[in-house]
Amino acid sequence: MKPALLRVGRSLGVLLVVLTLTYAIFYLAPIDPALAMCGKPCSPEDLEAARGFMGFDKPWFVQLGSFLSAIVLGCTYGSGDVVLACAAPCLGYSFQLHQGVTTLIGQRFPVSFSVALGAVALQSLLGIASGAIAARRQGGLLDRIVTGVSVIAASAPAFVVGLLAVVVFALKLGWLPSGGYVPFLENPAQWAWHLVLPWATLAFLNGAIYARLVRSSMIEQLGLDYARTARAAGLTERTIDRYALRNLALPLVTLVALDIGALLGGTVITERIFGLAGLGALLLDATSTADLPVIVGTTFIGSLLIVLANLAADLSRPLLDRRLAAGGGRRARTADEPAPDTP
Amino acid sequence: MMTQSEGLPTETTSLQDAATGEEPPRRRSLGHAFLRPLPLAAGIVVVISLLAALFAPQLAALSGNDPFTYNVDALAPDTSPAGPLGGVSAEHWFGVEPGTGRDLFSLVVYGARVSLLIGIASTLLATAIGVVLGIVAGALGGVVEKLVDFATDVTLGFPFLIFAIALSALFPLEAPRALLLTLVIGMFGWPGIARVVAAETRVVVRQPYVTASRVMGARFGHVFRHQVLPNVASTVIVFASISLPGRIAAEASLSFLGVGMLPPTPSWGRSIGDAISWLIVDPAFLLFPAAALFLVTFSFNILGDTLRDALDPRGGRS
Repeated sequence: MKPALLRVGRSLGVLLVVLTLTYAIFYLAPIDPALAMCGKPCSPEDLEAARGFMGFDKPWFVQLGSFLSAIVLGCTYGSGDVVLACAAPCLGYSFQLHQGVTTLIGQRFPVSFSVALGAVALQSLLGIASGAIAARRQGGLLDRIVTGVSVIAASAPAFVVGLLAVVVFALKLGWLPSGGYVPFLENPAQWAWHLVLPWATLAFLNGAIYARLVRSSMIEQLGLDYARTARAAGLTERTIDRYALRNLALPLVTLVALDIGALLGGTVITERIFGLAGLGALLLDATSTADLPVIVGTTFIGSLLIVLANLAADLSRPLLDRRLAAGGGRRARTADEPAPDTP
Repeated sequence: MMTQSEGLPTETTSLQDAATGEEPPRRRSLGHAFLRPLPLAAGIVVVISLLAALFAPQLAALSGNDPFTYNVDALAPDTSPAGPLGGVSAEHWFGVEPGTGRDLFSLVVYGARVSLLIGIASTLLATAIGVVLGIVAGALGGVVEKLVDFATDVTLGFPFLIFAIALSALFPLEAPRALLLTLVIGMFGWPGIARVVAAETRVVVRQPYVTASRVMGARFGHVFRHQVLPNVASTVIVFASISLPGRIAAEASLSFLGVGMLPPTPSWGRSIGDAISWLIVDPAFLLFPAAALFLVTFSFNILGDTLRDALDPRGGRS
């Protein structure tokens, strides 16, 4: 399994470069987190002491090194009388919120995860089903609806659709709550009830993109030789549909993986619309108070999710298409790409 | 990818045209493609929005307003707009902004400036970076190609929205926001176009006529300008126009979250974000900026799709 190892290594490399760039950018920024901690009036000695306590007096690459080692080993801030311990996996410590960044992210993650998970499930289901049916009945009513909605959904920003949904379904009709979050373990029914609008908003927008992709790929597949042969051999249309969908698994799994990877980015806007205290809200608050450890920690998590999702999609490819596995993990060529020169 | 319904009769790739030296029947079909009702309507919306952006001060003055004056007399005692539909009247065509009483028509017209300026400028920046890196990677291959490939992976490894929000913490208040937003949106927008251009360039540089001119002593610059660029031009134009609406939406999203354009500069995204706190009292405040943003992104999408179908009959790729 050498290609798989290579991919893992490459993903780690990407993650490391992203993190280094992030760290360098925020270290070079004209913001001094120690100033916020030092209090007023802030004497130069106090400021130095605060910097030393937070570890900001060292060069940026030393800080990056200790940030990385803290993820695995944990770390402590300060020495002597006042010591702050940050247990592994430590993503830094917010001196403004007086909590470890890992703890803060851990508190907010269930909210963002709930939003994203339900939305991805709903949009996959609706998008694939309506796309496949539209491809089967080209020119029919559902086909025209799917095509029309997908053009509109591609242009409508999530916050416009979400806010309109709040105005119509929550404020005017009063059918659904306009926002808020109830933990799943507290009350599963209320949890789902409060998330219906965010899920529906995201599923409407992204599901239309799925439907469009499934529709055009299905039409392409149903026109290929194997579908014609199967039909000539007397197989039912249902069976041919199954064959065609099986061939769509590869692009669809990639799409779903990328959507899960973009989870964090996608929920920032949703959280703002529906007043959910998730990771996006944490980041926005940290931005307004210039809370650097939280900002860097959230960016790291966002990047981690993207890289992991890409890796998962890459690694699942040979499982979905055995030709890729047989070819030693080499990339499949698309039809209009020329074959490599053979000596 | 080619679907059955489109493509076969007009299946002429730029490569084949160049190789046979025939002028494709493109001009006529391009004009015809834009004369259908939907692209035509989209074109009109785009032209109107461009004119609105250019002549925002004149248009606002025409309605007798500007986007910065607080019209307290247009507000009810609870600072929501007086009158129906957010205070729509002969003086204030789209009503006024709740809380301040600023003229909403002027805000929307001026908002077109921010949206279009940042959208177009960041698209040009992303396209320029993507084309140069793509051609260099595709033509040179080897280590350079691997480096560009890795840079692409790294850029895609950044969570764009998250990182753009985080960066806003570093922007000084007095810095030119429109320029910073253009740079941020443009710098993260190049990977897609770089990949497509690299793939096309790899094909072009293997063509016999390129080899022939290389043999005759043509330098890289000559091949770049006269052989590769003309062949990837239509792809680049299509890709740029398809990605433009996304960039307009990116500015609007950041402004919506309060980390984009700062007050008092009018911005559709920020107005929509402001509308959240007025949803119960004055939902009409949401309508005009949202409609403007949707119509402009929708129209650019339609024009981009039309252009793609006309220039690249092989269909969508992203």
